[in-house]
Amino acid sequence: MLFLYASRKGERVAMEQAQRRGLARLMLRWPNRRTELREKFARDPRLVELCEAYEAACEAAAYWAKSPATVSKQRLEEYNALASATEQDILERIS
Amino acid sequence: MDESVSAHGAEPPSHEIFESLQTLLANDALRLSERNRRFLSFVVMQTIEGRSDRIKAYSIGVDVFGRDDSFDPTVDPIVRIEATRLRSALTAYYEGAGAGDRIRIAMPRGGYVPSFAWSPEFAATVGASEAAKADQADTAPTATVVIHDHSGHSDPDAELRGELFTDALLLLLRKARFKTLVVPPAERAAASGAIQALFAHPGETYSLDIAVRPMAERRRYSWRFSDLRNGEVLASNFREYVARAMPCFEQIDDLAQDATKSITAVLAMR
Repeated sequence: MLFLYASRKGERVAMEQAQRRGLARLMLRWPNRRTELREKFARDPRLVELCEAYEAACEAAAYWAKSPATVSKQRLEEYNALASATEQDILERIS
Repeated sequence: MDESVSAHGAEPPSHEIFESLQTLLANDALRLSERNRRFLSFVVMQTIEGRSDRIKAYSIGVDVFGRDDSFDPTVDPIVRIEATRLRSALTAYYEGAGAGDRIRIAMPRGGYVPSFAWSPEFAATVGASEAAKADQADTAPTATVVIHDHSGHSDPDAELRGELFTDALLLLLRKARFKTLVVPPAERAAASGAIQALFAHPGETYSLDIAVRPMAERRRYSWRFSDLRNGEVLASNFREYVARAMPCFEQIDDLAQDATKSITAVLAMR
């Protein structure tokens, strides 16, 4: 039981870290929208989730960029496209 | 379909969830890619058909996203990312264009099994216990009308008039509280597929076939309202107007008004 609690707590911490990394990445990407991003991140759970998804898409793209697998090029293109699509979702959410 | 989805009293019955899904998928206001429309359709259909235990990242990756059996969600998080985008799109839809929808479809975080609920407005109006009985005759759901414009695309004039007729009908039918769908061009595959699925399981869905056809200097505007369950034509009419090089909005609006009144009356008698 204690192990399960620790495991779930660990997952939550990792998730929150991914959300913040995603936010940081977006603030670097759009410096002039930092204030909006930070303010809405604090009160819009959907935006928080999208930041996490954005981070996941960027990390997956980085993984496939280095992967020797035969599908790596296809996956890389897919995750780059997915990161762009998620950026559009985020812009929609904060506008 | 498995009616156990409705087991918790106030939850909508499966056939209403199905109809709501088809309406949602055909709506352009839902900002979702074709692929994510398939994703939504997959999880909702699995659930209402009693197979929610099959809804896992792996099955979605293989069945919806075309991954092979070596799919590993830990290095290929496509399902998790698209699920987040899907949740966001549903939230935005119900905050905006879908605010008046009676049924809310959601995908709670932590999994991919969807949840279904009456909208707060509907639940407040009808009451939770009444909402559970909404599939019975005395609280019959609002009918859905699928408009199919058969005006010839080879004649730009007839095509334009057909579009104007469709617009007028949409406005009036929505005012009369019908759910309205328009058969889209074939390239909009998700919306076309959703409407085809409605044709296969029509429930309280009717077709409204319209056409504007040229005959010499005249244009014949016709409409035919049918029950999709048995093909019975419930109402129809046509009018002919001389085509003039001037706006004809009033004539079209008048005919649309006539059609809407007839449809409302014929459904009230059923």
